[in-house]
Amino acid sequence: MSKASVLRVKHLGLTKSSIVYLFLGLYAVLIIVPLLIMYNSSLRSTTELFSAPLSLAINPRFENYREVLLGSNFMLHLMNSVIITAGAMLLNIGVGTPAAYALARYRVKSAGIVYSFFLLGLMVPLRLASLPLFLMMRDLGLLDTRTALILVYSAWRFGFTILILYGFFYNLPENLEDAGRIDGANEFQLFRKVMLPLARPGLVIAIIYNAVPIWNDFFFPLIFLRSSELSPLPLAVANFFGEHSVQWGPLFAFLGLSILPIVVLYLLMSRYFIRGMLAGTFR
Amino acid sequence: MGIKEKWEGISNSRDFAFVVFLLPGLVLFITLVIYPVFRSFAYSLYAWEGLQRVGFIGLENFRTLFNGVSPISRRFWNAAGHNAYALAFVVVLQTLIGFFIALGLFQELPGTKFFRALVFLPVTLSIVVVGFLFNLLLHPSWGAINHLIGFFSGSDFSFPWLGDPATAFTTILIINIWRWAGFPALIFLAGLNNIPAAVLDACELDGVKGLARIRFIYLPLIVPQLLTVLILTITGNLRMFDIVYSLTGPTGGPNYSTDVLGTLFYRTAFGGITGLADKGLGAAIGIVIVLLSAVISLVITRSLHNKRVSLEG
Repeated sequence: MSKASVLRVKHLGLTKSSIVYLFLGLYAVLIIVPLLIMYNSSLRSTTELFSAPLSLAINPRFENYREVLLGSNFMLHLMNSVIITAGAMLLNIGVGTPAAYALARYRVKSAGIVYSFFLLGLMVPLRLASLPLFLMMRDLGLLDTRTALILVYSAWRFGFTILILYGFFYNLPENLEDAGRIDGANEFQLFRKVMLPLARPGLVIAIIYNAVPIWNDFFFPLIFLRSSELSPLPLAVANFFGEHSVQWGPLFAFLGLSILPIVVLYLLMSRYFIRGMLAGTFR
Repeated sequence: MGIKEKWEGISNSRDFAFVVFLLPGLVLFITLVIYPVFRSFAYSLYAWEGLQRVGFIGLENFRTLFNGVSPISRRFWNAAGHNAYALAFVVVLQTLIGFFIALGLFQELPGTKFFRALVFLPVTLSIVVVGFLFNLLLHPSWGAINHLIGFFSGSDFSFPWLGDPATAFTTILIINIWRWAGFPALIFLAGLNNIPAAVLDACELDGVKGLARIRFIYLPLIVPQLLTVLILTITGNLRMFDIVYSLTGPTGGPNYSTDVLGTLFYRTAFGGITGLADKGLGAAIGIVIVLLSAVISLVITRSLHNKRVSLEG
């Protein structure tokens, strides 16, 4: 990425850099302040919050967190989010990787047609087909189960997985396969032992690109789930707000905790997140 | 040749491997994406009672939706109007903010990495969580935002941003921009980073600066990214749902002043909240959103395609 021209860097004067810093700094404040207020408020009592919303939590009140972690089903909802996202990704990557491999490496005529068929699926927002999906899940007896969400999510993101992995497999050198065949590997060993390890960076990107929207999705849990103990975090937040609307301390703690997994992961590997989440937008 | 040898012959053939690799994905995709989408079209052509189809009525659902007099039609045009306003407001403002952030990051001043990570952070957060957070921050009397305004203006300030029909929807759109602006910013940044160093050096030597450089060098060279951003922003806005649900509820309150096609679709297809639940009409609203997204995307692609500049010649 660093094709930075020497001339360009030299010529950005002091005034110009101050303007750039001022603008970026201002925007950064706009992003950070709501999040800081959230975490600050999560350490204060509800009465304190009502009398002085902006004061600092000088005597941090960790009871709010205890109330959320022990007094609500927070850990259960976190587990639901993990199970649903991991299940959907396993199924999605499990069937998507071999499919992308076959389409990219077996240069048969039908491959092109099937590939564009999958990409066509990207244009359709699956939410708007949620009515048939709802009736289908009801007929299968899967309403109000995490399985329904796992199935729908894995299919919803299928086209994106194909799109991302197709590119990775397509660009692997041809002679790798030939070498494997000469060594006597059959088609399946070739895929598993030779090609799959080489596509690992592509897998990481495909997983981030798909897992974040699945983790954050609210719509399908809202229509598929009735039992609150099955709900993933976004739906649990909505339910918690319905039940504790005037206990602001715990509300802020619940919000803060529910975005914590993503925020921590993001801080640890923001470069992969950015690459991953933008991966599907370039063709 | 025994069965065993025959099987080995088949299992080693490339055609067989191709089918085995492809089949599970194809089955998943057809049953849970293609089939439901076509079902959705079919459902919109039927009259429904609860969860039962009671007769084929052709395009009657669409007529009821568009006629302007039925209760659902009034809700539909009200919601569609809000989506149109959202399109104009968000597309212009969010794209501009995104572009200026990208320009700022493109200067690669010290600290750019920090800013880049921060700008993108909201994009990773659940929209519903963001919505409920701002729900608290915007509370008329206890919310932090009114207190901040009061602090800077020197007198107590109280305003129901989400409770007043005049401000509720614009407030939602601004929060939506807070959540999303990092996305176009980094897409534009990728486009700017693709501009060859030679072009930038030539700009320096020829003294192409400021607005002229943005207008005549940067913009023509990031048309593909602009296309991507516009299509994603527009189709995303037509599907807007979570942000409204978490800020003003599934009925798009107060008094439907924040109702959009997404919330109307949800209520009509799944909820009985307003007494208008009807699966056929719900499916029809879904189809309208899909077709609108497709048509607008196509028009944008067409109109911007010939403005694309290629450096290869």
